[in-house]
Amino acid sequence: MLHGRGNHSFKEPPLKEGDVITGGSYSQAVPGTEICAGVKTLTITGGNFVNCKPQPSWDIRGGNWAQIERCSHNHPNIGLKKCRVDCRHRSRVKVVREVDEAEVRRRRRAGLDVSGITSSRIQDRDGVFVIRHTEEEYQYTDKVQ
Amino acid sequence: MADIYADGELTTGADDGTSWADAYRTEASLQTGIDGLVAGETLHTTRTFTLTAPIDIDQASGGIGTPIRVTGYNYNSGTPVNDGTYAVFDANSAAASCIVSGSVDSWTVHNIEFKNATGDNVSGKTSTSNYWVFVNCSSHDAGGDGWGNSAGSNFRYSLFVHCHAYSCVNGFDLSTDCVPVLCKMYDLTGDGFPLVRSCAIFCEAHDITGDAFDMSGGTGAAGIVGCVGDNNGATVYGTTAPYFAVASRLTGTGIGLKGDGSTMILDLYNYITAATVSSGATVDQQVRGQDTRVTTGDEGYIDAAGGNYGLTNSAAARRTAVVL
Repeated sequence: MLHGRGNHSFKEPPLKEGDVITGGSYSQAVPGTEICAGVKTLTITGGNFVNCKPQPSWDIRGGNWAQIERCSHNHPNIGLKKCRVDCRHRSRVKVVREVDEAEVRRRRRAGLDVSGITSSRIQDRDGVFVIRHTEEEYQYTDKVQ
Repeated sequence: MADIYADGELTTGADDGTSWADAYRTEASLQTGIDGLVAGETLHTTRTFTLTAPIDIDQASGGIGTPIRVTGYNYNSGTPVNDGTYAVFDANSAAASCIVSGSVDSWTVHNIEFKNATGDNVSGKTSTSNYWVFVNCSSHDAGGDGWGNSAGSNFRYSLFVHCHAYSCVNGFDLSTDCVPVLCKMYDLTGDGFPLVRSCAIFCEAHDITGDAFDMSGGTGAAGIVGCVGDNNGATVYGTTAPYFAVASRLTGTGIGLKGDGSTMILDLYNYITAATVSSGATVDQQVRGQDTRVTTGDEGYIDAAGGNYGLTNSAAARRTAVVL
């Protein structure tokens, strides 16, 4: 069977013996996650296989096979074990981050702290005045293995 | 003012970008060429560049009427033609992104396929990149987003025409005031397209775990017109009034119109058979006292054979109201 697309992320993909995969999302939350352990013959020419561990017998000609240790601060809804506040994904020092206007409004609506946000009126290259919001904070970065 | 040429699979020539025969052919020379572009100039590129690091676009901005262009070409056996075929920037599971914009503005990108980044395929950095236009581009199989901000910032006041994002986390993670037209997004584990002071026009979104069109956090109107959403966590999500959905099809599993409990939605002339029509929102679907919402029949289906696909037919059939 030919698989060209489908959202099969974070679960066991429905791949069968002899299938050919040209696309689709099969990504997993944690690096080295074994998928389709009982399937010996697959031909894979494309697709998102981030954090998947292939079987040695598969014929792999393409696809994204990066192994990414994701931080639960960046991905709170994919079932990751919750990271500590000062986890290994956190930057050593605080960095100035441009805060999107939509995020500012979301936080205000949710009653969250916005006191650390600095807002300034700036003129862009075309003479248009825009509001730029910035905040100093730690950054959490997924780590590529 | 000079245009430059690049061919990721060329093995001969001077590698100086002056013609297709002498096109830039290595990652390093391509970077050199891009660094030298100024307003009004164009990079013409064909075939596939396999990257080990992101291409940095951080030197010059285009101007109004004089954008800096990147245009992909069909290789066409050595005589490249601009027929809409993608040129490819492949991050090859190694580069964090395919391209990263370092807060430069007014670039226009045509016919480029971005894929296989460990982070976002396309990202901004430093501060927002404004007035970008992506036409007929594809971004897929990223470890992060199709278009996002993993390098530090994102795109704002930008236009996306006939772009596809699939098999990523979020399709488009952008700042405010970005507009998608005739775009398509699917098989995403996050969200589709953020609409803040914006409107999605004739777009298609399906099989998205989160929210296909996310209008939360904006001010002023945001909405969708003529769009199709099928099998999404929620096709439309908004937290601020007003937002609107007009002449769209919301079908399949998940929620059609979703709010946060205080949301007001203008719901006009839509066909909605999503498993949950609306949730957490006050919905007004009337004009002059008449209900405009359609929930039965086969309204809006397009079938070349002159029939209709019926309501119980395949997911593919449900998405045919917008043909991209």
